[in-house]
Amino acid sequence: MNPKRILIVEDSLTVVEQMRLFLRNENYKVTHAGSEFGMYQMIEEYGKVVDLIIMDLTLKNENGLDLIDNLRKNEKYSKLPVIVVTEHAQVDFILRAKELQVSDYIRKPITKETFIKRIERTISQSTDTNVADNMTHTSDS
Amino acid sequence: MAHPTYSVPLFSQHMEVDSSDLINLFQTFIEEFAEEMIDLKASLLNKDYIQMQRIAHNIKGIAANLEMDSLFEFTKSLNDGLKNNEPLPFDELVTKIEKEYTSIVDYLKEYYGSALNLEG
Repeated sequence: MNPKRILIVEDSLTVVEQMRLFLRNENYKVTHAGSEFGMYQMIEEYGKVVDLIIMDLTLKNENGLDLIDNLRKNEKYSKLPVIVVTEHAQVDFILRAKELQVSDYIRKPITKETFIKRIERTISQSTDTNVADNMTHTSDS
Repeated sequence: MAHPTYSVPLFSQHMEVDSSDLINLFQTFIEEFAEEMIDLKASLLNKDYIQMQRIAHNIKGIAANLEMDSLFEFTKSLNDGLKNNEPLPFDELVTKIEKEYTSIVDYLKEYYGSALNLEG
């Protein structure tokens, strides 16, 4: 099976390096962007090949939820799975994340086990959804 | 060889990666944190508290992920104080952060010796 491609949107190189180490022996291709501009560069470059975005919510100059909001406004990326990495657990944050169809969230500090499990679960659910979508389209046609 | 607040072997157990990978991670940490400290002190001088809070938030996340508990507590105090407009002695907190960072870097240098390849 082709490895899934994960795009990490995070402005700390140390945290990116740590995430890469967590994923190194897993069957994923990992790319990285440090800003919204970089994120669009990467997803436009890889197009449909980006299977999951890991989004840090508190980038130094940008708000991760706003980035997801902008992403969702683009039909092409409206269903792209996103996992957010955050320290927030307030109700208003969770409600907004749900509105933006965030797939899951990981609390900081990140542990390897949690990180990999959440990614596996999200990608698996996304694949199931795609299969279901394809079946629906097939039966419609 | 020990550090009063940080343990490489303990962190290494949690990371489950090779020593060389851990060294690369620490090198990235040392370089990134050094740059952040320069920006943090410049922001303090310029009284740019918004930028200070952004930096404090970033380095707090790094310290948390690398299980540097004391560094995390100092950066958290700075971040929370700035976020909530508390009248804290920010200069003292920045000094504490820098001292703790320097102490951890010294420990890492001693722990890894020449394997930790730092420029400058």
